[in-house]
Amino acid sequence: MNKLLFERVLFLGGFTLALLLLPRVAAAADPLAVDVDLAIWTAIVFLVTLAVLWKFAWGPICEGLERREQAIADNIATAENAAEEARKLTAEYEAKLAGAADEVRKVMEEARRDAEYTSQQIVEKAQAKAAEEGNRMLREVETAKDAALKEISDSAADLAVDLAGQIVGRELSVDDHSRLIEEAQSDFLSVQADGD
Amino acid sequence: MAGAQHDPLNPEHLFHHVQDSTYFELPQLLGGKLEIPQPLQLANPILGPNPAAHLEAFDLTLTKFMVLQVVAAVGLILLFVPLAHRTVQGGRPRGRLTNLLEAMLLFIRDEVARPAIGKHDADRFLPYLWTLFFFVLACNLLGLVPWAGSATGALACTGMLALCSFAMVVGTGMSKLGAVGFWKAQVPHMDLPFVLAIFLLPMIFLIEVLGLLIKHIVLAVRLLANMMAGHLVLAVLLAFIAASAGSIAWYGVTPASVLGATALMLLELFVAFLQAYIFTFLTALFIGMAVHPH
Repeated sequence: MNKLLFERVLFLGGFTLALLLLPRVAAAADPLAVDVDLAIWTAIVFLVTLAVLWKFAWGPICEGLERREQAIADNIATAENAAEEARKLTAEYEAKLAGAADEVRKVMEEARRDAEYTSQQIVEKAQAKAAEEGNRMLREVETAKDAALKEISDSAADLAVDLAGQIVGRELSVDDHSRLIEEAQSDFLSVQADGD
Repeated sequence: MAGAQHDPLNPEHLFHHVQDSTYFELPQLLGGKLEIPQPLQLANPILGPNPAAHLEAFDLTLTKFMVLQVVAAVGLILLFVPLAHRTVQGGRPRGRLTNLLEAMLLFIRDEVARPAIGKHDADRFLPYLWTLFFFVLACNLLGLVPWAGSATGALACTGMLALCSFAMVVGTGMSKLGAVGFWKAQVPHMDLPFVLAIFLLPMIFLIEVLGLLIKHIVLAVRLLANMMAGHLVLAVLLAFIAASAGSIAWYGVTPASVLGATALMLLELFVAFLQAYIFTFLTALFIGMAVHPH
Protein backbone atom coordinates (compact mmCIF):
# COMPACT_ATOMS: atom_id res chain seq x y z
CA MET A 1 0.00 0.00 0.00
CA ASN A 2 2.77 2.37 1.02
CA LYS A 3 4.78 1.28 -1.96
CA LEU A 4 1.87 2.02 -4.27
CA LEU A 5 1.42 5.45 -2.72
CA PHE A 6 5.13 6.13 -3.08
CA GLU A 7 5.05 5.10 -6.71
CA ARG A 8 2.05 7.32 -7.38
CA VAL A 9 3.63 10.34 -5.72
CA LEU A 10 6.81 9.71 -7.64
CA PHE A 11 4.97 9.33 -10.90
CA LEU A 12 2.84 12.41 -10.39
CA GLY A 13 5.85 14.42 -9.28
CA GLY A 14 7.87 13.34 -12.28
CA PHE A 15 4.97 13.95 -14.60
CA THR A 16 4.37 17.48 -13.26
CA LEU A 17 8.05 18.23 -13.48
CA ALA A 18 8.18 17.01 -17.06
CA LEU A 19 5.08 19.03 -17.95
CA LEU A 20 6.59 22.16 -16.45
CA LEU A 21 9.88 21.60 -18.21
CA LEU A 22 8.61 20.45 -21.58
CA PRO A 23 7.76 23.89 -22.97
CA ARG A 24 11.14 25.26 -21.91
CA VAL A 25 12.89 22.23 -23.39
CA ALA A 26 10.85 22.42 -26.57
CA ALA A 27 11.76 26.05 -26.88
CA ALA A 28 15.44 25.28 -26.44
CA ALA A 29 15.66 22.20 -28.60
CA ASP A 30 13.28 20.28 -30.81
CA PRO A 31 12.23 16.94 -29.32
CA LEU A 32 10.57 15.99 -32.58
CA ALA A 33 13.72 16.61 -34.62
CA VAL A 34 14.31 13.82 -37.13
CA ASP A 35 17.82 12.91 -38.11
CA VAL A 36 17.48 11.26 -41.50
CA ASP A 37 20.88 9.61 -41.02
CA LEU A 38 19.66 8.03 -37.83
CA ALA A 39 16.39 6.94 -39.44
CA ILE A 40 18.16 5.22 -42.31
CA TRP A 41 20.70 3.75 -39.93
CA THR A 42 17.90 2.45 -37.70
CA ALA A 43 16.22 0.78 -40.66
CA ILE A 44 19.46 -0.87 -41.76
CA VAL A 45 20.47 -2.04 -38.28
CA PHE A 46 16.95 -3.24 -37.46
CA LEU A 47 16.45 -5.12 -40.72
CA VAL A 48 19.93 -6.69 -40.61
CA THR A 49 19.30 -7.77 -37.02
CA LEU A 50 15.93 -9.16 -38.07
CA ALA A 51 17.51 -11.09 -40.94
CA VAL A 52 20.41 -12.46 -38.89
CA LEU A 53 18.23 -13.45 -35.95
CA TRP A 54 15.56 -14.91 -38.25
CA LYS A 55 18.11 -17.15 -39.92
CA PHE A 56 20.30 -18.09 -36.97
CA ALA A 57 18.10 -17.68 -33.90
CA TRP A 58 14.35 -17.46 -34.36
CA GLY A 59 14.08 -20.38 -36.78
CA PRO A 60 15.95 -22.87 -34.59
CA ILE A 61 14.35 -21.48 -31.42
CA CYS A 62 10.84 -21.82 -32.87
CA GLU A 63 11.60 -25.34 -33.97
CA GLY A 64 13.25 -26.24 -30.66
CA LEU A 65 10.39 -24.86 -28.58
CA GLU A 66 7.84 -26.58 -30.77
CA ARG A 67 9.73 -29.85 -30.51
CA ARG A 68 10.10 -29.51 -26.75
CA GLU A 69 6.39 -28.84 -26.34
CA GLN A 70 5.61 -31.86 -28.49
CA ALA A 71 8.02 -33.98 -26.47
CA ILE A 72 6.50 -32.85 -23.18
CA ALA A 73 2.99 -33.54 -24.48
CA ASP A 74 4.13 -36.97 -25.70
CA ASN A 75 5.80 -37.74 -22.37
CA ILE A 76 2.67 -36.81 -20.47
CA ALA A 77 0.56 -38.97 -22.78
CA THR A 78 3.00 -41.87 -22.40
CA ALA A 79 3.04 -41.51 -18.63
CA GLU A 80 -0.75 -41.44 -18.54
CA ASN A 81 -0.91 -44.55 -20.69
CA ALA A 82 1.65 -46.29 -18.49
CA ALA A 83 -0.29 -45.36 -15.36
CA GLU A 84 -3.49 -46.66 -16.93
CA GLU A 85 -1.72 -49.90 -17.93
CA ALA A 86 -0.32 -50.27 -14.42
CA ARG A 87 -3.76 -49.76 -12.91
CA LYS A 88 -5.19 -52.43 -15.21
CA LEU A 89 -2.38 -54.86 -14.44
CA THR A 90 -2.78 -54.30 -10.70
CA ALA A 91 -6.49 -55.03 -10.91
CA GLU A 92 -5.73 -58.12 -12.97
CA TYR A 93 -3.16 -59.38 -10.47
CA GLU A 94 -5.43 -58.66 -7.57
CA ALA A 95 -8.18 -60.68 -9.24
CA LYS A 96 -5.70 -63.46 -9.92
CA LEU A 97 -4.48 -63.39 -6.34
CA ALA A 98 -8.04 -63.64 -5.05
CA GLY A 99 -8.61 -66.57 -7.44
CA ALA A 100 -5.46 -68.26 -6.20
CA ALA A 101 -6.61 -67.99 -2.57
CA ASP A 102 -9.91 -69.58 -3.55
CA GLU A 103 -8.10 -72.36 -5.32
CA VAL A 104 -5.86 -72.95 -2.35
CA ARG A 105 -8.89 -73.18 -0.13
CA LYS A 106 -10.49 -75.62 -2.56
CA VAL A 107 -7.37 -77.78 -2.77
CA MET A 108 -7.02 -77.85 1.00
CA GLU A 109 -10.66 -78.79 1.36
CA GLU A 110 -10.29 -81.57 -1.17
CA ALA A 111 -7.15 -82.83 0.49
CA ARG A 112 -8.91 -82.87 3.85
CA ARG A 113 -11.83 -84.73 2.34
CA ASP A 114 -9.48 -87.19 0.65
CA ALA A 115 -7.61 -87.77 3.87
CA GLU A 116 -10.82 -88.30 5.79
CA TYR A 117 -12.09 -90.70 3.20
CA THR A 118 -8.81 -92.58 3.10
CA SER A 119 -8.63 -92.88 6.87
CA GLN A 120 -12.22 -94.03 7.03
CA GLN A 121 -11.46 -96.54 4.32
CA ILE A 122 -8.47 -97.82 6.22
CA VAL A 123 -10.48 -98.17 9.39
CA GLU A 124 -13.26 -99.95 7.52
CA LYS A 125 -10.84 -102.27 5.83
CA ALA A 126 -9.16 -103.02 9.12
CA GLN A 127 -12.50 -103.71 10.74
CA ALA A 128 -13.56 -105.92 7.87
CA LYS A 129 -10.28 -107.75 7.98
CA ALA A 130 -10.53 -108.20 11.71
CA ALA A 131 -14.09 -109.48 11.39
CA GLU A 132 -13.09 -111.89 8.64
CA GLU A 133 -10.17 -113.11 10.67
CA GLY A 134 -12.46 -113.68 13.60
CA ASN A 135 -14.94 -115.60 11.48
CA ARG A 136 -12.19 -117.65 9.97
CA MET A 137 -10.93 -118.50 13.41
CA LEU A 138 -14.43 -119.45 14.49
CA ARG A 139 -14.88 -121.58 11.44
CA GLU A 140 -11.56 -123.30 12.08
CA VAL A 141 -12.46 -123.89 15.66
CA GLU A 142 -15.85 -125.32 14.54
CA THR A 143 -14.15 -127.53 11.99
CA ALA A 144 -11.63 -128.71 14.56
CA LYS A 145 -14.43 -129.31 17.00
CA ASP A 146 -16.45 -131.31 14.44
CA ALA A 147 -13.37 -133.28 13.47
CA ALA A 148 -12.63 -133.97 17.12
CA LEU A 149 -16.23 -134.98 17.79
CA LYS A 150 -16.25 -137.22 14.76
CA GLU A 151 -13.05 -138.82 15.84
CA ILE A 152 -14.45 -139.27 19.30
CA SER A 153 -17.67 -140.80 17.93
CA ASP A 154 -15.75 -143.06 15.57
CA SER A 155 -13.38 -144.27 18.20
CA ALA A 156 -16.29 -144.61 20.66
CA ALA A 157 -18.20 -146.76 18.16
CA ASP A 158 -15.19 -148.86 17.53
CA LEU A 159 -14.63 -149.15 21.24
CA ALA A 160 -18.29 -150.02 21.80
CA VAL A 161 -18.19 -152.63 19.05
CA ASP A 162 -15.04 -154.09 20.45
CA LEU A 163 -16.53 -154.13 23.92
CA ALA A 164 -19.85 -155.50 22.71
CA GLY A 165 -18.06 -158.09 20.63
CA GLN A 166 -16.10 -159.12 23.57
CA ILE A 167 -19.29 -159.28 25.64
CA VAL A 168 -21.61 -160.84 23.11
CA GLY A 169 -18.89 -162.94 21.45
CA ARG A 170 -19.89 -164.92 18.49
CA GLU A 171 -23.59 -164.91 19.10
CA LEU A 172 -24.13 -161.96 17.03
CA SER A 173 -24.40 -162.35 13.28
CA VAL A 174 -22.85 -160.00 10.87
CA ASP A 175 -26.27 -158.40 10.26
CA ASP A 176 -26.94 -157.91 13.89
CA HIS A 177 -23.55 -156.53 14.25
CA SER A 178 -24.09 -153.88 11.64
CA ARG A 179 -27.59 -153.08 12.96
CA LEU A 180 -26.33 -152.68 16.43
CA ILE A 181 -23.58 -150.37 15.28
CA GLU A 182 -26.02 -148.20 13.37
CA GLU A 183 -28.35 -148.10 16.36
CA ALA A 184 -25.57 -147.13 18.65
CA GLN A 185 -24.39 -144.56 16.19
CA SER A 186 -27.76 -142.93 15.73
CA ASP A 187 -28.27 -142.98 19.49
CA PHE A 188 -25.01 -141.33 19.94
CA LEU A 189 -25.78 -138.75 17.25
CA SER A 190 -29.18 -138.02 18.73
CA VAL A 191 -27.65 -137.65 22.16
CA GLN A 192 -25.15 -135.40 20.68
CA ALA A 193 -27.83 -133.40 18.90
CA ASP A 194 -29.75 -133.07 22.17
CA GLY A 195 -26.58 -131.95 23.82
CA ASP A 196 -26.09 -129.17 21.28
CA MET B 1 27.40 26.50 -23.95
CA ALA B 2 29.26 28.80 -21.53
CA GLY B 3 25.98 29.97 -20.11
CA ALA B 4 24.75 26.40 -19.80
CA GLN B 5 27.76 25.59 -17.68
CA HIS B 6 26.72 28.27 -15.22
CA ASP B 7 23.07 27.26 -15.10
CA PRO B 8 22.64 23.49 -14.74
CA LEU B 9 18.86 23.86 -15.10
CA ASN B 10 19.17 25.53 -18.48
CA PRO B 11 16.80 23.54 -20.73
CA GLU B 12 19.31 23.38 -23.53
CA HIS B 13 21.85 21.88 -21.24
CA LEU B 14 19.31 19.40 -19.80
CA PHE B 15 17.99 18.41 -23.15
CA HIS B 16 21.46 17.76 -24.34
CA HIS B 17 21.59 14.76 -21.97
CA VAL B 18 18.78 12.93 -23.75
CA GLN B 19 19.66 14.01 -27.26
CA ASP B 20 21.73 12.33 -29.87
CA SER B 21 25.27 13.64 -30.25
CA THR B 22 28.50 12.94 -32.08
CA TYR B 23 30.35 11.97 -28.92
CA PHE B 24 29.97 9.91 -25.76
CA GLU B 25 29.99 11.63 -22.40
CA LEU B 26 32.70 10.32 -20.11
CA PRO B 27 33.67 11.16 -16.54
CA GLN B 28 35.86 14.28 -16.38
CA LEU B 29 38.70 12.04 -15.19
CA LEU B 30 38.73 10.24 -18.54
CA GLY B 31 38.65 13.42 -20.60
CA GLY B 32 34.93 14.15 -20.51
CA LYS B 33 34.24 13.32 -24.13
CA LEU B 34 34.80 10.51 -26.59
CA GLU B 35 34.33 11.75 -30.13
CA ILE B 36 32.97 9.25 -32.67
CA PRO B 37 35.15 9.12 -35.79
CA GLN B 38 33.40 10.47 -38.89
CA PRO B 39 34.76 8.65 -41.93
CA LEU B 40 31.61 9.22 -43.99
CA GLN B 41 30.62 12.75 -43.06
CA LEU B 42 29.95 14.89 -46.13
CA ALA B 43 31.15 18.48 -46.35
CA ASN B 44 27.96 19.36 -48.25
CA PRO B 45 24.86 17.68 -46.77
CA ILE B 46 22.60 15.80 -49.14
CA LEU B 47 19.74 17.58 -47.39
CA GLY B 48 20.30 20.73 -45.41
CA PRO B 49 18.83 21.17 -41.90
CA ASN B 50 15.26 22.39 -41.95
CA PRO B 51 14.03 23.45 -38.48
CA ALA B 52 10.55 24.18 -39.81
CA ALA B 53 10.12 20.51 -40.80
CA HIS B 54 12.00 19.23 -37.72
CA LEU B 55 14.66 17.87 -40.06
CA GLU B 56 18.32 17.72 -39.20
CA ALA B 57 21.06 17.73 -41.79
CA PHE B 58 21.38 14.56 -43.85
CA ASP B 59 25.16 14.35 -44.19
CA LEU B 60 26.04 10.80 -43.10
CA THR B 61 27.22 11.92 -39.67
CA LEU B 62 27.75 9.00 -37.32
CA THR B 63 26.18 9.54 -33.90
CA LYS B 64 26.04 8.06 -30.43
CA PHE B 65 22.62 6.49 -31.03
CA MET B 66 23.87 4.73 -34.17
CA VAL B 67 26.70 3.18 -32.18
CA LEU B 68 24.31 2.20 -29.43
CA GLN B 69 21.90 0.61 -31.90
CA VAL B 70 24.74 -1.49 -33.23
CA VAL B 71 25.67 -2.41 -29.66
CA ALA B 72 22.06 -3.47 -29.08
CA ALA B 73 21.95 -5.46 -32.33
CA VAL B 74 25.26 -7.23 -31.66
CA GLY B 75 24.18 -7.90 -28.10
CA LEU B 76 20.96 -9.50 -29.30
CA ILE B 77 22.79 -11.66 -31.83
CA LEU B 78 25.33 -12.74 -29.20
CA LEU B 79 22.51 -13.63 -26.80
CA PHE B 80 20.08 -15.38 -29.08
CA VAL B 81 22.26 -17.31 -31.53
CA PRO B 82 23.85 -19.37 -28.70
CA LEU B 83 20.39 -19.70 -27.13
CA ALA B 84 19.13 -21.08 -30.44
CA HIS B 85 21.92 -23.66 -30.40
CA ARG B 86 20.96 -24.75 -26.89
CA THR B 87 17.24 -24.82 -27.62
CA VAL B 88 17.47 -26.73 -30.86
CA GLN B 89 19.60 -29.42 -29.23
CA GLY B 90 16.63 -30.31 -27.05
CA GLY B 91 16.82 -31.33 -23.43
CA ARG B 92 15.89 -29.25 -20.45
CA PRO B 93 16.53 -25.51 -20.51
CA ARG B 94 19.34 -24.98 -18.02
CA GLY B 95 20.72 -21.84 -16.45
CA ARG B 96 19.27 -18.48 -15.52
CA LEU B 97 20.02 -16.76 -18.81
CA THR B 98 18.43 -19.49 -20.92
CA ASN B 99 15.31 -19.54 -18.80
CA LEU B 100 15.11 -15.75 -18.65
CA LEU B 101 15.30 -15.37 -22.42
CA GLU B 102 13.00 -18.32 -23.13
CA ALA B 103 10.45 -16.99 -20.66
CA MET B 104 10.39 -13.67 -22.53
CA LEU B 105 10.23 -15.37 -25.93
CA LEU B 106 7.35 -17.56 -24.79
CA PHE B 107 5.60 -14.59 -23.22
CA ILE B 108 5.69 -12.73 -26.54
CA ARG B 109 4.50 -15.84 -28.35
CA ASP B 110 1.75 -16.97 -25.97
CA GLU B 111 0.55 -13.69 -24.43
CA VAL B 112 1.14 -11.22 -27.27
CA ALA B 113 1.31 -12.80 -30.73
CA ARG B 114 -1.17 -15.65 -30.43
CA PRO B 115 -4.00 -13.77 -28.68
CA ALA B 116 -3.60 -10.73 -30.95
CA ILE B 117 -3.15 -12.44 -34.31
CA GLY B 118 -4.69 -15.85 -33.71
CA LYS B 119 -2.96 -19.18 -33.22
CA HIS B 120 -2.99 -20.05 -36.88
CA ASP B 121 -1.21 -16.98 -38.27
CA ALA B 122 0.76 -15.84 -35.23
CA ASP B 123 3.85 -17.99 -35.69
CA ARG B 124 4.60 -16.46 -39.08
CA PHE B 125 5.00 -13.05 -37.45
CA LEU B 126 6.92 -14.23 -34.42
CA PRO B 127 10.41 -13.48 -35.84
CA TYR B 128 9.40 -9.88 -36.56
CA LEU B 129 7.70 -9.40 -33.18
CA TRP B 130 10.57 -11.01 -31.28
CA THR B 131 13.14 -8.85 -33.05
CA LEU B 132 11.04 -5.73 -32.50
CA PHE B 133 10.54 -6.43 -28.80
CA PHE B 134 14.14 -7.21 -28.03
CA PHE B 135 15.54 -4.43 -30.20
CA VAL B 136 13.37 -1.82 -28.52
CA LEU B 137 14.05 -3.34 -25.12
CA ALA B 138 17.81 -3.36 -25.68
CA CYS B 139 17.76 0.27 -26.86
CA ASN B 140 15.62 1.25 -23.86
CA LEU B 141 17.88 -0.56 -21.42
CA LEU B 142 21.03 0.98 -22.88
CA GLY B 143 19.55 4.30 -21.79
CA LEU B 144 19.99 3.18 -18.20
CA VAL B 145 23.70 2.50 -18.67
CA PRO B 146 25.87 5.38 -17.49
CA TRP B 147 27.34 7.48 -20.31
CA ALA B 148 25.26 5.62 -22.88
CA GLY B 149 21.81 6.69 -24.00
CA SER B 150 18.62 5.29 -25.44
CA ALA B 151 18.27 5.48 -29.18
CA THR B 152 14.51 5.06 -28.65
CA GLY B 153 14.58 8.64 -27.30
CA ALA B 154 14.96 9.94 -30.85
CA LEU B 155 12.00 10.26 -33.20
CA ALA B 156 14.12 9.10 -36.13
CA CYS B 157 14.56 5.72 -34.43
CA THR B 158 11.03 5.19 -33.08
CA GLY B 159 9.55 6.62 -36.26
CA MET B 160 11.49 4.22 -38.43
CA LEU B 161 10.49 1.28 -36.24
CA ALA B 162 6.86 2.38 -36.45
CA LEU B 163 7.25 2.71 -40.20
CA CYS B 164 8.57 -0.87 -40.34
CA SER B 165 5.51 -2.00 -38.37
CA PHE B 166 3.25 0.00 -40.66
CA ALA B 167 4.85 -1.60 -43.72
CA MET B 168 4.44 -5.00 -42.06
CA VAL B 169 0.75 -4.37 -41.33
CA VAL B 170 -0.05 -3.04 -44.80
CA GLY B 171 2.08 -5.69 -46.49
CA THR B 172 0.49 -8.63 -44.65
CA GLY B 173 -2.96 -7.13 -45.08
CA MET B 174 -2.49 -6.75 -48.81
CA SER B 175 -0.95 -10.18 -49.26
CA LYS B 176 -3.82 -11.73 -47.32
CA LEU B 177 -6.77 -9.79 -48.73
CA GLY B 178 -5.32 -8.52 -52.01
CA ALA B 179 -4.14 -4.97 -52.68
CA VAL B 180 -7.67 -3.70 -53.26
CA GLY B 181 -9.29 -5.98 -50.74
CA PHE B 182 -7.14 -4.68 -47.92
CA TRP B 183 -8.07 -1.05 -48.51
CA LYS B 184 -11.71 -1.98 -49.05
CA ALA B 185 -11.68 -3.87 -45.76
CA GLN B 186 -10.77 -0.64 -43.99
CA VAL B 187 -14.38 0.44 -44.39
CA PRO B 188 -16.62 -1.59 -42.10
CA HIS B 189 -19.58 -3.16 -43.85
CA MET B 190 -22.75 -1.13 -43.40
CA ASP B 191 -26.24 -1.41 -44.85
CA LEU B 192 -26.69 2.08 -46.23
CA PRO B 193 -29.06 3.48 -48.82
CA PHE B 194 -27.20 4.04 -52.06
CA VAL B 195 -27.42 7.85 -51.92
CA LEU B 196 -26.06 7.96 -48.39
CA ALA B 197 -23.34 5.48 -49.22
CA ILE B 198 -21.96 7.65 -52.00
CA PHE B 199 -21.30 10.41 -49.51
CA LEU B 200 -20.53 8.43 -46.39
CA LEU B 201 -18.28 5.64 -47.60
CA PRO B 202 -15.46 7.83 -48.97
CA MET B 203 -15.47 9.83 -45.78
CA ILE B 204 -15.38 6.72 -43.63
CA PHE B 205 -12.62 5.37 -45.82
CA LEU B 206 -10.63 8.55 -45.32
CA ILE B 207 -11.16 8.49 -41.56
CA GLU B 208 -10.19 4.84 -41.31
CA VAL B 209 -7.03 5.26 -43.36
CA LEU B 210 -6.09 8.34 -41.35
CA GLY B 211 -6.76 6.33 -38.22
CA LEU B 212 -4.43 3.60 -39.47
CA LEU B 213 -1.70 6.17 -40.04
CA ILE B 214 -2.26 7.93 -36.74
CA LYS B 215 -2.17 4.64 -34.85
CA HIS B 216 1.34 4.05 -36.14
CA ILE B 217 2.47 7.63 -35.61
CA VAL B 218 1.25 7.39 -32.03
CA LEU B 219 3.19 4.17 -31.74
CA ALA B 220 6.37 6.13 -32.49
CA VAL B 221 5.51 9.15 -30.35
CA ARG B 222 4.50 7.09 -27.32
CA LEU B 223 7.81 5.30 -27.17
CA LEU B 224 9.73 8.51 -27.86
CA ALA B 225 7.89 10.50 -25.17
CA ASN B 226 8.23 7.78 -22.57
CA MET B 227 11.94 7.35 -23.06
CA MET B 228 12.73 11.01 -23.44
CA ALA B 229 10.57 12.27 -20.54
CA GLY B 230 11.96 9.71 -18.12
CA HIS B 231 15.55 10.61 -18.91
CA LEU B 232 14.73 14.30 -18.85
CA VAL B 233 13.23 14.09 -15.37
CA LEU B 234 16.23 12.07 -14.27
CA ALA B 235 18.53 14.78 -15.64
CA VAL B 236 16.51 17.50 -13.88
CA LEU B 237 16.62 15.69 -10.54
CA LEU B 238 20.38 15.39 -10.74
CA ALA B 239 20.77 18.94 -12.04
CA PHE B 240 19.21 20.16 -8.79
CA ILE B 241 22.39 19.02 -7.06
CA ALA B 242 24.57 21.19 -9.28
CA ALA B 243 22.10 24.08 -9.05
CA SER B 244 22.17 24.09 -5.28
CA ALA B 245 25.95 23.72 -5.05
CA GLY B 246 27.55 26.32 -2.82
CA SER B 247 24.45 27.04 -0.78
CA ILE B 248 23.32 25.43 2.46
CA ALA B 249 20.41 23.84 0.59
CA TRP B 250 22.86 21.47 -1.09
CA TYR B 251 22.94 19.26 2.04
CA GLY B 252 19.22 18.69 1.81
CA VAL B 253 18.90 18.59 -1.94
CA THR B 254 21.64 16.08 -2.62
CA PRO B 255 20.26 13.09 -0.64
CA ALA B 256 16.74 13.83 -1.86
CA SER B 257 17.91 14.02 -5.46
CA VAL B 258 19.95 10.84 -5.26
CA LEU B 259 17.09 8.92 -3.64
CA GLY B 260 14.62 10.34 -6.13
CA ALA B 261 16.88 9.54 -9.06
CA THR B 262 17.38 5.99 -7.79
CA ALA B 263 13.64 5.47 -7.48
CA LEU B 264 13.15 6.97 -10.93
CA MET B 265 15.82 4.67 -12.34
CA LEU B 266 13.80 1.70 -11.08
CA LEU B 267 10.68 3.17 -12.64
CA GLU B 268 12.62 3.65 -15.87
CA LEU B 269 13.69 0.02 -15.76
CA PHE B 270 10.02 -0.92 -15.59
CA VAL B 271 9.12 1.57 -18.31
CA ALA B 272 11.85 0.16 -20.57
CA PHE B 273 10.15 -3.25 -20.47
CA LEU B 274 6.64 -1.85 -20.50
CA GLN B 275 7.18 0.31 -23.58
CA ALA B 276 8.91 -2.48 -25.48
CA TYR B 277 5.94 -4.69 -24.61
CA ILE B 278 3.39 -2.05 -25.63
CA PHE B 279 5.13 -1.35 -28.93
CA THR B 280 5.20 -5.07 -29.73
CA PHE B 281 1.69 -5.73 -28.47
CA LEU B 282 0.18 -2.90 -30.52
CA THR B 283 2.09 -3.99 -33.61
CA ALA B 284 0.73 -7.52 -33.11
CA LEU B 285 -2.75 -6.10 -32.64
CA PHE B 286 -2.50 -4.06 -35.85
CA ILE B 287 -1.23 -7.11 -37.74
CA GLY B 288 -4.13 -9.10 -36.28
CA MET B 289 -6.59 -6.46 -37.43
CA ALA B 290 -5.07 -6.44 -40.90
CA VAL B 291 -5.21 -10.24 -41.17
CA HIS B 292 -8.69 -10.59 -39.70
CA PRO B 293 -10.60 -7.40 -40.54
CA HIS B 294 -13.50 -6.73 -38.14
